[in-house]
Amino acid sequence: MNIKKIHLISASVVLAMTTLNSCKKDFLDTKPTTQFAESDVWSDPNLIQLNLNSIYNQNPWNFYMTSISVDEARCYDGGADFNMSNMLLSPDNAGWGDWNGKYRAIRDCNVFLENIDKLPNDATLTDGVTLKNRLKGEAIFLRAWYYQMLVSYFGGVPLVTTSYKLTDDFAAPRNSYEECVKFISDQCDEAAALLPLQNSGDAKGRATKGAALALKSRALLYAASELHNTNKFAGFSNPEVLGYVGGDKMLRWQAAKDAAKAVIDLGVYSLYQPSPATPEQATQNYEDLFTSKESTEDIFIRYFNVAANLGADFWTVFPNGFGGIEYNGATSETVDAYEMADGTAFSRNNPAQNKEPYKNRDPRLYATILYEGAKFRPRASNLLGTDPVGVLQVGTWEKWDAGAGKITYVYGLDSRNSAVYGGGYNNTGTSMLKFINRKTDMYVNHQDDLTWRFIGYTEVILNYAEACIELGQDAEARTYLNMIRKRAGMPNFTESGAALKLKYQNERRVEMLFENQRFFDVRRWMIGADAYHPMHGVDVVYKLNPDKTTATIPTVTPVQITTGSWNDKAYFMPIARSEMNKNAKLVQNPGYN
Amino acid sequence: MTTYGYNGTYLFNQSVIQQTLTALRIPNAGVTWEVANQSNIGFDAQLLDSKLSITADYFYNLRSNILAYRNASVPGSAGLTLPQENIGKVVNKGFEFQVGYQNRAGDFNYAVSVNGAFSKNHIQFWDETPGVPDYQKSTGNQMNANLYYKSIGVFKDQAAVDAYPHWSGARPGDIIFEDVNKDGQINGLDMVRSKKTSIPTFTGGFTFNLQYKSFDLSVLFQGAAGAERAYTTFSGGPGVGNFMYNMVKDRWTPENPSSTNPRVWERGGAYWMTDGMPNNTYFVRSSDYIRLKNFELGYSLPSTLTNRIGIQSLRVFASGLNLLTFTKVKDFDPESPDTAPGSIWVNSQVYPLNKTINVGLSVTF
Repeated sequence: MNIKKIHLISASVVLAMTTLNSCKKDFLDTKPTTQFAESDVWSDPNLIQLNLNSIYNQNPWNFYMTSISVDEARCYDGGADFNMSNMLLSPDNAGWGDWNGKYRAIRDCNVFLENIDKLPNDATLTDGVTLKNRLKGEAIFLRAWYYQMLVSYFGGVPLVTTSYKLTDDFAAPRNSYEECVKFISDQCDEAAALLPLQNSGDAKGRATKGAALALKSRALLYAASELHNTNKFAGFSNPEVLGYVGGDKMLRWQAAKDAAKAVIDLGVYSLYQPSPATPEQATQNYEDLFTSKESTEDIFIRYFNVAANLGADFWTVFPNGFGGIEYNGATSETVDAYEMADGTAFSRNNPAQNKEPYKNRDPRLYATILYEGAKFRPRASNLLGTDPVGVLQVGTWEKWDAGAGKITYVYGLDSRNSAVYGGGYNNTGTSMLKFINRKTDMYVNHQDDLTWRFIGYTEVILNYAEACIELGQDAEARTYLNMIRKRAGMPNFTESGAALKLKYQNERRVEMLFENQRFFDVRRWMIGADAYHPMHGVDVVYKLNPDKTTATIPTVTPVQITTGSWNDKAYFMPIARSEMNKNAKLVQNPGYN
Repeated sequence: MTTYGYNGTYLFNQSVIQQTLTALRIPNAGVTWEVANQSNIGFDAQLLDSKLSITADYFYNLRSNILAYRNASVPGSAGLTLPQENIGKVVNKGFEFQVGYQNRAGDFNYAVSVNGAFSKNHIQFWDETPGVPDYQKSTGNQMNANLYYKSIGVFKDQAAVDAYPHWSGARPGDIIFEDVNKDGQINGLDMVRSKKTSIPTFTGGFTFNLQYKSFDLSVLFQGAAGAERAYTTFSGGPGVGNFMYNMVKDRWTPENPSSTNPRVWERGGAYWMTDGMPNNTYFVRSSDYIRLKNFELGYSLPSTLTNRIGIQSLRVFASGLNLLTFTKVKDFDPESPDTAPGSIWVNSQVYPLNKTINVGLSVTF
């Protein structure tokens, strides 16, 4: 570089400095537009809401949630949550419940609540509440939400309600289960008092009074359940972190019933399309409920929208022959749990039912699970010749090749030998349909719109009915359960006592399939062994008839696809070894030492 | 003051996008410069009429106040996203040398050179998780050294499984983890901090150049020692069988109950191989190697001959790159790049080095 050039550059730099200096003296102190000082965040009514948004954003969601960690579904490679299915869970592979993630969200809530009062008061009412009260209510709700999840996985956990500074002592003991549930319940009440009954406009999707009361209903239902009122672990040093060690169980069921009733009595929610005229309509209504953008059942929801570039990733659950990876296939056990349309149990021992297992079943099955021959959506254009209708094809066709004098095999487009994409997807012989918008085209976009209901009104009705059953109020329970049955196009329950309880448990399993419930339900009901055992899918073959034609009705045979077993330790999740090492005051859950 | 920044977006009212604002980090007001004390002693000599040259250098570098995260001792229940703090202290020491000799003997003109560098760091202070056993501590070991279970063979049969502490669910064909702390069970306490990393502690080279009349020869060997690397294929399972030949050719099967090579595995289905991320020394190999990196032999036609046909010079030559490699590594190249800096995992999506043979003729008119 020659010297003249250097001079030129120096001159221009000096000039630039001078120009800037002359118009603005403090130009070096300009605040960046994408970063904010803490003091600005708490005093700005807009920024403070954006901070709260980040706590909503930490709420875990995906299409399969806990379904592959329990008996609802299995994923590709016939796999599942291998360590969970085979009871190999230990402090060295602990990830269930995402302890660290939940506590990060809880810290954000704590920081928020320590600072919310710095927001200047504004008496303007929106949806009946002031901004400050609404934000405070949302943060209290979210903290209770994350604690409720932690407690559902681990039992009592350290209740951290203030934000630590770097110099603090971080070691904290686990609070008792009772203390945790009381905290969650009280916080839900506190939040409910601050939150609006319903949100309007762009506040839709934020927590409401109903969300807080419904969370309380869930927390108290879980707490009243057998798992937390029976000491299964006789020698365990700290039974108080697993459940109640005294008191009256019936009062807990009463509290659970009252909590559910409080949501019902708000009068703002109702079952979606409660009175279908035909079973087909019941199927359609049920499908519409889970694919609708808004419904009368929405209590705590999250929106996904593809136009906003925040769509839900349907690719993970779409059948492989329709462009997805078919992550969530319902097990044979799940499919078999659906009753016949007349309300009797399905049985593989019934020859007619075994021959055509997907015929005359609970209308909800047809809106929840895709099975061999179930109509889905149009195939990609190059496959229309093979499958003009667009049905799930997991089967194998045995065809007679007269020329060669032997059987040839033709594999379905959604099978593991699919000509579209074979790559080893779930081998349950089914694919998930619930939540899926049939208009979604994987070859255009992997994502699409979705409204996910973390809490829907159906759950509250079921919570109420369960508490009624436990309190011996069978008639009241049946009244509410039969609302769900009617909406589903299924006959009323007439059972009482233990028989009603079993019917109810199956109803909850079917109605709320893939909704992140059963993983917790089988634990709190203490029926772990029913849900953890070798799991089955189905093998589907269109057999060659003796006259060398191919059968039009497939033979559907359950086959084992994964191993499995049960151990009582899995009623509670292990705390990671590293966490145990870092916090000397923690007590590990039973069975993990 | 804590700084807040955007970290994502969230939807309200079906499709209304709002930013999410979060604390980027907890402030550390006490942050200061890292301190590096570097000392070295060197030696340079030329002897025997400059035929022999020797260079040697010893160095000792102490870095302190290294910015590092204190994650290892802060429990998750604190919920903190920690700032970097001046807590690390690392020593790096070693030596480098080069010895060269060149001479002429009659028509022979030759030069030989050997060089090498030895360098090893060890951590003097690091944030350790309280309560971890000494053999898992980072302190005293190299930076980025990993924790592994020690693989000591394969369960040949059920009797072998029954005879040794094992991971719950272990079956014949599974890798045996050593019960390091001898407590009769295999768990996370049996993991051991490795003494090696992906970075060799010794690298060296040897060059040899020879000219004899119109012939010329040059040879370069290079080598490295003291590093460990691992290679795995991503998957394995029904539908996605993807194994290295060396992993399967002598694999354990009921008919061939090997005590050294494990069975084939399913993705996510073996305690010693979860989703392509093994946690044990079976998959970790010493990547020591010596390689004939470059070899070239040439012959130049005498100018008296070339001038006659109007050519200034003409040379024929044969050369080769990476012709020979001496290493115990079988399935990957010891010089393969890492998947990430400091990772021992070989990046399988990068082409290995080519073996190249050139035969050429260079003509100057």
